[in-house]
Amino acid sequence: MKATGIDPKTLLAIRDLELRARVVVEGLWSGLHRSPLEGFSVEFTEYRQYSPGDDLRYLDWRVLARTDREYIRKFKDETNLRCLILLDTSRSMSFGSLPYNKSDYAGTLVATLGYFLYRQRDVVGLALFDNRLHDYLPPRWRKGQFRSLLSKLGKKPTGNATHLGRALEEVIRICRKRSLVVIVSDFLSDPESWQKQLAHLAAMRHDVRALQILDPAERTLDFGRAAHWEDLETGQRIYIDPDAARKGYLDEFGRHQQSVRDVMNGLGIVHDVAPTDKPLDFVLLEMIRSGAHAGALTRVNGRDRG
Amino acid sequence: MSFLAPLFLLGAALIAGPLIFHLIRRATRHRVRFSATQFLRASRPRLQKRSSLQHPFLLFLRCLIIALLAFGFARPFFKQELPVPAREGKLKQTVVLLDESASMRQTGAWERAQTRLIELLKRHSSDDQLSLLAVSSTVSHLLSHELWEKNPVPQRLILAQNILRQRAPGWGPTYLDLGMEAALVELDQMSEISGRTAEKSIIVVSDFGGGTRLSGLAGHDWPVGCVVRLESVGGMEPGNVGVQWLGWLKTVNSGIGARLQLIGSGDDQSVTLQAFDAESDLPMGEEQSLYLPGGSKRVALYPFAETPSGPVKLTIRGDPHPFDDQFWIAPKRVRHAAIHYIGSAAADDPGQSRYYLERATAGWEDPLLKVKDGSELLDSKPGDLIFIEGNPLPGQRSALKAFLSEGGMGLCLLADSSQLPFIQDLTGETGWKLNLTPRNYALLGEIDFQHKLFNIFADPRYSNFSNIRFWDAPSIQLPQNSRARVLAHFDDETAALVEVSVGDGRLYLWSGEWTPQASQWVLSSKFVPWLQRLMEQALGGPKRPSMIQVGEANRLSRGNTVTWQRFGSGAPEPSDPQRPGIYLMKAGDSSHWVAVNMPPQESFLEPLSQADWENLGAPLNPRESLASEQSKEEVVRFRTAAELESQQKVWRWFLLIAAMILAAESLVAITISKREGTGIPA
Repeated sequence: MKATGIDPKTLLAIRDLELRARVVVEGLWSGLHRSPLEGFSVEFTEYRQYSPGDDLRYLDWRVLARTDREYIRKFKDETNLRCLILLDTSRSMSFGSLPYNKSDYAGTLVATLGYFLYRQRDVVGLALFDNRLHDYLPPRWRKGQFRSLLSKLGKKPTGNATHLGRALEEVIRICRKRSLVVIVSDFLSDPESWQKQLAHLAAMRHDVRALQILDPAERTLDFGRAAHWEDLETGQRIYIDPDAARKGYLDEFGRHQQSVRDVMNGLGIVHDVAPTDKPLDFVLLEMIRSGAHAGALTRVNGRDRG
Repeated sequence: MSFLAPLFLLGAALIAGPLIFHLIRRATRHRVRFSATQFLRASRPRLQKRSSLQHPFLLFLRCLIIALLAFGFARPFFKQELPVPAREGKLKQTVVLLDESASMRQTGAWERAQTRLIELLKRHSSDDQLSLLAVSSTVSHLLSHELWEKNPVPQRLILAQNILRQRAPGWGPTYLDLGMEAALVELDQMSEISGRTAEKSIIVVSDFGGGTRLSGLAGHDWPVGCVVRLESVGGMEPGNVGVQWLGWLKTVNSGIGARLQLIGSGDDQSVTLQAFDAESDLPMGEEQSLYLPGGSKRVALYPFAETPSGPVKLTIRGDPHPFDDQFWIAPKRVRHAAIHYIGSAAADDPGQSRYYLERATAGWEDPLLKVKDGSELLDSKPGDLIFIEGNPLPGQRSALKAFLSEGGMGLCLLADSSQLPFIQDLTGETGWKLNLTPRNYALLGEIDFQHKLFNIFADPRYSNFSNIRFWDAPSIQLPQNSRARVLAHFDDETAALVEVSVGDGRLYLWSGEWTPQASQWVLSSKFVPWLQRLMEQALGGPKRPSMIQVGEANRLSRGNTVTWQRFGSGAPEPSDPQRPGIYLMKAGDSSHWVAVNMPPQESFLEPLSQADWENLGAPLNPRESLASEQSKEEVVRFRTAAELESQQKVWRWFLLIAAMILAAESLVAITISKREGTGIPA
């Protein structure tokens, strides 16, 4: 596994979303997402000493005949990962101080993740939301699923306000099977508005990952000039001199981020921050790694077949 | 710099666009969209001058582009001293006739005429031929076409202005017919010199007052293609009252008065008349108020307390034009003369010639005549007439001969052969005969109508003497090689009236007596006028009038040397009187006062109608008004300007500079946009 570190500015200059995804995924190590869990798969991994109670079907008779010892064959379990990606399409995602905005970046990231899973023959679904869930592609593996996912991503964000809590309620309703739920959003709304629903989702034993997309300007406020600033979602205008307002903003934003992190940690949800100037393959790798360490997938498959 | 389409300069007002844009955009451009304003706290706005413009340099460039485009579309060009474009087609020959008559002295007319003339001259191109004439009672050349062509184009107008500056209206009548004839002659000369086909026009600048004389234009042959344009400069205030002299009149209380005709024009007028002594300026009568209905004439008698012995000044007050408000009156002059009758006839015998002589001369005013007996012949003086009937006495004969030799005049009725020795003695010629053969009757055949005694009958209307029969008229036979001259023949070719010089004087010999028995002569209508004419000859000619009009002074000289001295001036005038006033006319030993006045018709300011011209066949061009001429000039000027503009093509430079500035503006705008445009969402 190696980090290619593709410059997102260069990557997002490619117009075709599928091509962007392929460029990232092809650079990654093949089979990255092979399940770390052992099970009854066709691929042998090791032997272990038979102990009473083991299923005799897995007893290696040939070894018993040669060595007269009872060994149980252990196999890698091929996980059939079910993943649902929730993508925030609200107006706040259309902000960008770079030549591309957060929505472009997040869309490319979702496409890359989808293509990655699709190649692994995992089941991928997509749900787009702003103040509600307005577009939904159920998770399944079939021919053309990735194309459908791309067409959903091709839609420009139209919603005004963000209401993550309401969107999560709908996900809870329609996504009953335990899945890997990846929430891609800027998480700029008040955590109290979605904390409860997120806890509910986590309680349903879904493997929830939070990927927070932030523009560098949102993190530093090194942006703009003294003018009337208009909120992208509410349209509210206030006069802002960024030099004067920077300190207060950073304080407020820091407090907000801290509260988001606290909520995520409290719920045991992996929370990754993805600045839009960060190479996509790095983000993808970190997400996978953090997911492996957290052992979330264990909860998803839930069985040790060894 | 001039512009062919100056209205496009209004496009420069579009500069307001960028100005407003740069003011308004300041507010819109500074709007920044952000995703996390909930973490921001409103800042305190910085103080800025509302009048400050954003990016003034960029604004300057944009304004400059608009201004350059506006100037470019306005099609600028630089004026050059190009020759005035020659007219397409024919050459233009123009004669301008300027009225300098007395009526041009009406308020404002002369100034308007000068202004109009300058306007006319300005519109003539370099190719045009032009001549400027002035007309009043005579025609004078102010600017000949040779002088016009000889001078360079820029100098022509200056020359004309200098000439006009030195001119002023005179006091004479308006003889426009004379002026038109002179203008036509001038046009002919121009055509001969140029040898080209030309558009001929006569422009008359005048007030066209009602007294303008046009009668000479009747039946005139106008050249083909010649047009007459009338430029009227009068009629602003047509109301006026003028005076015409009619003569002296005895009043009912045996006084004397001046009989005047008042000529009104325009609206109704109320005027006052008053006479003043020209020397002392003291009133010589009461002020008279008179009312004249508009455009009417009326006769008025201004009575004098006593017969004026000196010049009189009559003033008219109450009309708007002062130029004719003074009228000069010379004192009444009477000529006295006598007819010395030499004969034996009684004055009251109708069978005698003297009876008819006295009847025919009774009541004459000029001269005041008295018939005297020949016995007083010694009292005779120059201007008297000796009338001889029969044979004078020997003492009378010598006196008569002396009188005639000194320039006197005599008339002898020849009826008897016994008179012939006396005639031979007087004339110094022998061979005079009288044929007394009776005849049925004789008629006057050949008459010398060129002679001063008969020239008043020269007109065919009055030349009929065929109804005067002579029954008892002997035939006069002249001596051989006689210096005598037959003035009238009978129809049998014998002499009826003979003129013989005697010294410096003259003796007329009339065949027969002046009685109804001898002939119908004394009863004919020709008799008294002929006798009047005879007396005038005796007095040296007709009475010189003492009331004349400006321009008539030469009529009084009769070939003699005459000097004029203005009243109150010690020196004689260098020429005949050219302005109204009282003058002392000296002719030989005699002198008398003469009042010179403006022609009365010049006071009639009611303008002539166009129909008056049309009736005379004048080829008027009424539609060719000054305004239309100006519009033509505008077209020519526009074409010239368009030609200049198309040659210079200055607009291309404006557009080129505008394009360059536009490129610079784009660079500046991009630079500024890059520097500040981070706030614009992608």
